[in-house]
Amino acid sequence: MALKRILFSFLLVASYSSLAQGVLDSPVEIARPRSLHSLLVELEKSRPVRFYFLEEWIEFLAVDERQNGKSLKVVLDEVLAGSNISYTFLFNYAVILSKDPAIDLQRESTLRAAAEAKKQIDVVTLGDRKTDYVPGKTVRLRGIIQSETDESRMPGVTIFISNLNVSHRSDANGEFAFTIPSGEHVVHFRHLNYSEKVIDLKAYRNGTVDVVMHETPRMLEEVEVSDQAIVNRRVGESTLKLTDIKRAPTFLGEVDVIKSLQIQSGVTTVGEIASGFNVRGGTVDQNLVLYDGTPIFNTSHALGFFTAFNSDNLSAVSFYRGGIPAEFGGRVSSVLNITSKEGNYRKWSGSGGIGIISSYFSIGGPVLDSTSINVSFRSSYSNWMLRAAESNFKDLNNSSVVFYDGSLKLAHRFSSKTRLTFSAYASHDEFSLADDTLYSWKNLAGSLRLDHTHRDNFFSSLTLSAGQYGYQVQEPDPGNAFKLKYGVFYPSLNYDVSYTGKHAISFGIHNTFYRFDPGELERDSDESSSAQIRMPSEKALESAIYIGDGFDLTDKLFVELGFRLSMYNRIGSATVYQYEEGSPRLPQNTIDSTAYKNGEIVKTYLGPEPRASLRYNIDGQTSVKVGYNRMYQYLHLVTNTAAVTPVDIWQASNSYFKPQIADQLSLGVFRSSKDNMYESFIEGYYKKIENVLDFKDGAQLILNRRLETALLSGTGLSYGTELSLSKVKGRLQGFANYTWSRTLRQTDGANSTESINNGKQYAANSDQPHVVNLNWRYGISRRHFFSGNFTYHTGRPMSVPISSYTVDGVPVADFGDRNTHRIPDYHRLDIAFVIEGNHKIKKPWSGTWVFSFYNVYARRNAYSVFYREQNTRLVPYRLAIVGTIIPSITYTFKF
Amino acid sequence: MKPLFVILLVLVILDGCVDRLPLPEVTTQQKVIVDAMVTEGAGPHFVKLHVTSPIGTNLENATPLTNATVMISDNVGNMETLTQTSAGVYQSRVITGIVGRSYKLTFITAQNKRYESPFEEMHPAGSMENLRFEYRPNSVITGDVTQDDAMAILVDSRGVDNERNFFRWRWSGIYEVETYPHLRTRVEAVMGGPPVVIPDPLPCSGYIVNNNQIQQVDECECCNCWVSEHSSQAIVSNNAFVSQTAFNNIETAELTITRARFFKKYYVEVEQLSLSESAYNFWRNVQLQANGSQNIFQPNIIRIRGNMTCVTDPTEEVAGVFSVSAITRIAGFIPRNLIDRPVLQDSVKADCRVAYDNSTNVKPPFW
Repeated sequence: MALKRILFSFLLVASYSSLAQGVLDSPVEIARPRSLHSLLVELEKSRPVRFYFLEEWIEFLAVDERQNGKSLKVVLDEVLAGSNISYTFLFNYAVILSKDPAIDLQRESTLRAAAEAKKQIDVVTLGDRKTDYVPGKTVRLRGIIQSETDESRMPGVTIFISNLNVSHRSDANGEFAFTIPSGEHVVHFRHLNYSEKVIDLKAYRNGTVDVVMHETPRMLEEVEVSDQAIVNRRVGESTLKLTDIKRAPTFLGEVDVIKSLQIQSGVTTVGEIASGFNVRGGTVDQNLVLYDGTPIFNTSHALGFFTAFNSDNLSAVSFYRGGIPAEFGGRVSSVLNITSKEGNYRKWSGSGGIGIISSYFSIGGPVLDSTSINVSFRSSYSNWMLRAAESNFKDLNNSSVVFYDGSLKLAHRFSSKTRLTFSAYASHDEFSLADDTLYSWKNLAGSLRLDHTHRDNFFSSLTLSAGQYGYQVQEPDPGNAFKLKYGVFYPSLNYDVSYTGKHAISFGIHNTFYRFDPGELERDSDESSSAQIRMPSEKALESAIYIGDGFDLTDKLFVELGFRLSMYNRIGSATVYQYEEGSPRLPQNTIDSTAYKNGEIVKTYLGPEPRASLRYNIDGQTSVKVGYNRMYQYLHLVTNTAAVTPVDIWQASNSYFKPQIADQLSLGVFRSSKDNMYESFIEGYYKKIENVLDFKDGAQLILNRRLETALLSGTGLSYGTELSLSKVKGRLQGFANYTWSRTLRQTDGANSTESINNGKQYAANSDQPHVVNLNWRYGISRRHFFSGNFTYHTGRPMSVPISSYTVDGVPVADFGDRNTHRIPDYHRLDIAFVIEGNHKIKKPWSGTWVFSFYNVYARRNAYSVFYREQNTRLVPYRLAIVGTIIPSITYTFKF
Repeated sequence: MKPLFVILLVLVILDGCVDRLPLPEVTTQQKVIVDAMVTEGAGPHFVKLHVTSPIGTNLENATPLTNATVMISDNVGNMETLTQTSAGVYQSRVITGIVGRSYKLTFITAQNKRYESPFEEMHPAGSMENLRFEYRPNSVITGDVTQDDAMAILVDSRGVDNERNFFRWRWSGIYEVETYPHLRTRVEAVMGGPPVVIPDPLPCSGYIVNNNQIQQVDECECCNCWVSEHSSQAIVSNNAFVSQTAFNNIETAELTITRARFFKKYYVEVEQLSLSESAYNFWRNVQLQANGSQNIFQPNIIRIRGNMTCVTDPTEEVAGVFSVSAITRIAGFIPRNLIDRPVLQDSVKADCRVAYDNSTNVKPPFW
C-alpha cells in the first residue's frame, strides 16, 4: 500500500513539475562510506529538501568518498544508475524516488505462468542483496547442465533469460558461462525432449548454477521445446525438433529426418523420391552430413525412398545453410550435424517402432559403473511386401528391396571431467529386380572421442574416426556375370578446443586421409565374357586448421569471426596425362604423361576460408544478421543424372579437377514476438561456386581411367530470398515459408564440345524459383494431434527436343539447349493423425499410433517428362512416381 | 542390367503412372539429317537425306533433301557419285565396301552447301555363334501398368582379336498372319423391315456369293500374309565392361507376344554391324537417350552429334550419321512351343495385305 501511495503522489505532482534545480546542484560532503539512506536523512536535516522513498528500496545503496564534493544530482545519478529506481525533483524542495514496477510485475507474471504450467521452478540466490548488490554492475554466471536420467552433460541447452530477452547455449561439454546485470532474473533452461527448468535467480555476485534437467517421458505439447530464440540464432542455422518430425505425416510410415529437412527454407529436392537434398541451389554432394562427427557419403535407403538414419536413435540435428562455423569444412553448401543417442547411465530403457516397410528397436542402459551403451537396429521387410503384392508382374514378385541400419554408442566417464565415447554406424542396401542385376551399397562409420574439461570453461576433444562407403553391382547371368565394386575409405584424426568466456574461442586441427578404389570389375563365372578391370586406387590427404571467436562487441552487436585454412594433397601413385593445348581434352589429343610414385605429391591445393557472422540485436525482439563464408570442397560426386544414384562415384580433386570454392553472403532480419510465440524472418543470399563439374554428352563415367576427358568444369550461381513465419507455441504450431530463388550454371569451355548451351548461363537441375511450404500441428488434446504439410514448388528444369528424326529406322530426339523448359509444377498435401499413450510419467510402456496420408488429393505430380515413340511419332509423357494417396500406419513405443 | 528396373517397382507399389502430356512449345530448328551406310560388298549402298521434323509429327513423313550431289569415296582413290532413286534417297552402283578400307561421304545441296564426313574405316564384323529365345511372362509394361508376355531374342557373338570391336545389333522379323476376307459381311437396309446382314466376301478371297451362300471359286490371294518388322532401338556393344572379343547374351529384342505375331511361327534374323568409333559413339548415345528417358534417376539429356559436318558453315549442326559396317548375320524360327499358354487367333475379315502394315502375300522362299 505504501508503494501505491507513493506512486499516486508521484502521479499527482508530476503535472506540476518544476525545472528548478538549485538544491540538486549544491555539492554534497561525503567523508566516509555510508548508506544512501543515512545521507538523505542527514541532508533533510541540513538543507531545504525533502526525500520521498521507501527505505527497502535503497537499503542496499551506498556512497563513498569518491562522490565527495559532487552535486546532489550527480551523486543520485551515480548511485541509482543500473537500478530500477529513478527520482523526480518538484516544487524546489521535494526529491521523489520512484521504483519502476514493470520489471517486477513482468518477473512475477513469468513465474506465475511457469507455476501454472507445472514447470519445475528452483530459487537460486547468489550473494546477499544488502551487502553484495551493486546496481548496474554485472555478475558472471557459470554452470554445468546434466541430464537427470543418466547424469550425462547436455550440450545445446538453450538458456533464456526472459526479463532480458537474451539467450545463451550450453557448449559441447554441457557447460555455460555468461554475464548478466546484477539483480533478479528468471532463467529458463530448455532442451528438446526435456522438461523446461525455470530458475528464479537472485544474482548479486558471481556464482555457479548447476542444473539438472529431467527427460520428458512423453512428447509434451504444453512444454515449450523451442530451440534458441530466432533473434539469437546464427544466420542460416536451424535446429530440427525431433518431436515435430515424429508427429509429421510420413511417406509409407517412415519417419524421416531428411524429408523433414526438405521443407525448410532454402532446401529443395530434385524429385519426390530423390536421394539427399539441395541447399540454396547446391548439389547433393555439397552437403556435409555428419553422424557423430563422421561424414556419411550416401544418406539414402532404397534408392532414395527413405533416409538411412533411424530418426528414433538421434538426439540432436543441427543444420547450417549459411554462416557456417569455421569448425566445419569440406563441403560448400551446408552442414547437417547429427548426434546419436547416448545410453542411460542409471537404468535400462528402450524404444521401437513398427511400420509398413520397416521396424526398429533401440535399447540402452548402464553396462558398468560410469559406462553406458545404446544399441539401435532397423530393418526392412519390404521383400515380404513385394512378394505378397498381388501382381502379375513376374519381375515384381521376384524382386528384392532390402535395407537395414544399426548403431552402437558406448560412453565411459573416467571422471567428471573426462569422458570417452565410441560410436559406430552401419547401413546396408540391396536392390534387384527379377533375379536380375543386384545393386548393393553400404556406409560404415566409427569414431572414438575423448572429451576433457581442463578448466570450467576450457574444453577439448580428440576424435579418431573412420568411414567407408562402397557399392557393388553384381550381374548373375552366367554369360556376363561380373561384380563391379567401388569404395572409399576415409580415416581421420581431429583435435578441437573450445574456450567459453567473454570470447567464445574455438580452434582445432583436422586431418582426413582418403583412399578411393574407383572401380574394380571382376568376372564372376567361368563362362562370363566380362572384362577384368582394376582401376588404380587414388589417395589424398585433406587437412585443416581453424580458429573461431565469438564475442559481444557491444551489448547489441555479437560478432563471430572464423578462419579455416585447408590444405589438400593428391598423393601418388598416379599418372597425369597432358593434352594438346587448344584442342578438346580427349584421349586422342594426349601429348605426354607424367608418372608419380607411391606417396609422391601429385597436386597440392591450399584453401583459405574466412568466415564471419554478425548479429545486431535491435530491441531484444528484432535482430539483423549478416553472414559470409568461403568454403572449399575437394571431393566431387560425378554423376550425369539429376537425382543421385547409388552407383555414382566420388572423385578426389587432382590436377584437372580443381576444388569447388563457394562464397556465400547472407543478410537477414529476424523477429520474434509475443514472448517468442511467433518467429519470422526474411533472409537473402548470394552464392557463387567455382569449379562445379558437369559432364560431356554420353560420357562414360564408370571405369574411366581418364575422367578428365569426360567431365567439364563450370561455375554455379545462386541467389534468392527466403521468408518464413512460424508459430512455435500453443496448441496450433507450424510455419509457412516462401522462397524465391534462382540457381544457374555456366560451363564455357574452349570449344563447343566443352561448353554447355554455347557457354551461356542456364538453369541448374535444382532451380525451382518459387517454393512454398505450409506445416502445421494442432493439439486436439494432450494426446491427440492433427498435423499436416503442404508443399508447392515450380517444376524443375528439363530439356526438350526441338525436332525428331529416324536413322536406320531408329527414332532419335534432337534436343536443344539444356534445361530450357520445366516439368509441371509440383504440389502435394499430407496429413497425419497422432494418438499418443497416456502421459503418466512412471508408466512402464508408452505407445504412439501415427496414421498418415501422403498425397491426400492424389495428384499425379510429374517426376520426369520423357519422350517415346508412338505410331511413328515421338510424344511426351509424364512419369508420376506417386499417383495416388498413400496411407500408412506406424506404431512406436518406449519403455 | 535392365535400364528400366526401378520403374516397375514404382508403378506397382505406389500406383505411379505414365500420362501423355501436350507437346511443349518449341521453335523447331531444322537440321539436315544424314542416314547413310556403306556395308561390306558391292552394295547398293544408300544415302538418305532429309530435314528434321517438328516433334510429334510423323517420322515417316520427313521432308526429303532432293537434288543433292552425293559422293562416296574411299582411301584408295575410288569415288562414286550416287544416283537419286526417289526423293531424298541416293543409291550407289559401283563402289564396294571392303574391310580395312576407309570411306567418306560428301554431298552438296542444291543451295550449294557442302557437307562431309571424315574417312571412316570398315572393321570386321566378327561372328555370331548362338541365337536363343526366352519366353518372359508378364514382363513388358505397356501404357500404364498393364503388362504383356514377351519373347526375348538373345545372341552370343565374338569379335576379332586386336580390333576394338565396336558393334551394333539390329534385327528383322517375319511372321505369318491369316485373315478371313471371305467372311466379310455388309448390312443392307430393307424396306419396312430390320436391316439384314448379307455375305460380302472380298474378291481376293476366291469366294463369291451364290444364292446368298458363299462359294469358293479360286485360290485366296489375301488370306495368308507375311508381315515383316525390324528393330527400332539402338543396341550397341558395351565395350567398357566386356572382354574385347566375347559378347554373351546380347538381348537384341523383346517382342511382345501378340495374337498375330505368334499365332503361327516367327522368323527372326539378327545382324551384327561393325562400327567406326564415331559411329559407335552416335549409336551409343542414341541408346543412352532411349534408356535414360524413363530412368528414375533422371539422366541429363544427351545431345547427339554424328560424324557429319557442314564445311560451308562449320557452326551448322548436322544430325544423323554415316556408318561404315561389315555385317554378319544369324537367323532362325522361334519355336511356338516356347510359349506356355495358348495364343488365340485374331479373326480379321479383311485383306491381310491391308490389315497389316509391311505385309506381303508372297511366301518367303525359306518358309
